[in-house]
Amino acid sequence: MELIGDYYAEKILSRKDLIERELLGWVCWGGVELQQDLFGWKVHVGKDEFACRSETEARYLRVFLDLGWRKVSVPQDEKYLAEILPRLEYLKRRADEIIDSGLAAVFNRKLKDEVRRKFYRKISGTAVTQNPVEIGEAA
Amino acid sequence: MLAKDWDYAPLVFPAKVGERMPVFLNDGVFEDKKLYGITPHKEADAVLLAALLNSTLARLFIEFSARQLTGAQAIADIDVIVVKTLNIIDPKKISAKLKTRLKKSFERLANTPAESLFKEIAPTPDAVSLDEVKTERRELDKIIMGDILGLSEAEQLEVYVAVVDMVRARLDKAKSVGRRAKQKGGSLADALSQNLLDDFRNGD
Repeated sequence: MELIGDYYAEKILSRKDLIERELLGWVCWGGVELQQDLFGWKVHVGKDEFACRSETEARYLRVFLDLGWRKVSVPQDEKYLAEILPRLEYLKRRADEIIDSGLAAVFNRKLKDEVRRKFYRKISGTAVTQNPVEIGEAA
Repeated sequence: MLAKDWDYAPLVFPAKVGERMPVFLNDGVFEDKKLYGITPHKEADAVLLAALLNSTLARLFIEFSARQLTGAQAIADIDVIVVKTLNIIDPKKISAKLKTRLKKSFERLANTPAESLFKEIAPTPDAVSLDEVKTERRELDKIIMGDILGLSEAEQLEVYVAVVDMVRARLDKAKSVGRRAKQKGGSLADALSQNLLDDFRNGD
């Protein structure tokens, strides 16, 4: 299976219609929530929120917020975003399943968090070296 | 009081298995999260059930269903549901004669120490030979795989090879994690995350 970083480099960084989004505010895993209100879609992370133009963009940002990225490039073509999103979400879901089953017998929360952070950094791989995207440490 | 009026389960099954996987006949230990209790429908079947569960075939099925963890430990984790749904031969379909042979054979095996399967069967898949399998184990397996299921000797050999291969692969993986962790500057978290990455890359 390809790494999320490789997928990102191939499918996103190769495009010209990119807008960079700052993802500051990431705090921990599992605290990312999507919400739709009168003003559109938002991604909530703790006290921070990221306004999005659509549900697709919100789901796209959630993947990278979960992975701890600090910046991410977003294609402006909504149709294209919808096209690449399912694979991206699948890769993230598989990563989480592998973590859950692989660390089922590890009860040390600190170790678990450290492994998760390192693993996320590894699957974010290539993109880190090709783009000034940084993988965040817990705030 | 813990387990008040609770009967001892006649069989206890280990929740984690390594190179050994003895299923014990029990008359004085309470089951818990590490030792699952097994209560046969008919109490008289406990020895027969113990014989079936201590066979190499049962071990093969367990190896298929157990969680292999991260590879950081050489053990496999057996969920209680795995034991509950483990496929074994229906004791009702075994003839009285074979039941007697099975029980006697199991009693002989039970009188020997439960050793590593690398000692009881073979240290590596390539070294497996029916003649080299521990006599008491071979006798029990022969009844189950040969007389009851009708597997040929070649097929029985395959069962032994598969079991040794699966357990050996798990141990080798555990060693590789240990080695990674010991590398200069490495940590257990590095080794575990690298292992997860390998699993991720090898996934579909």
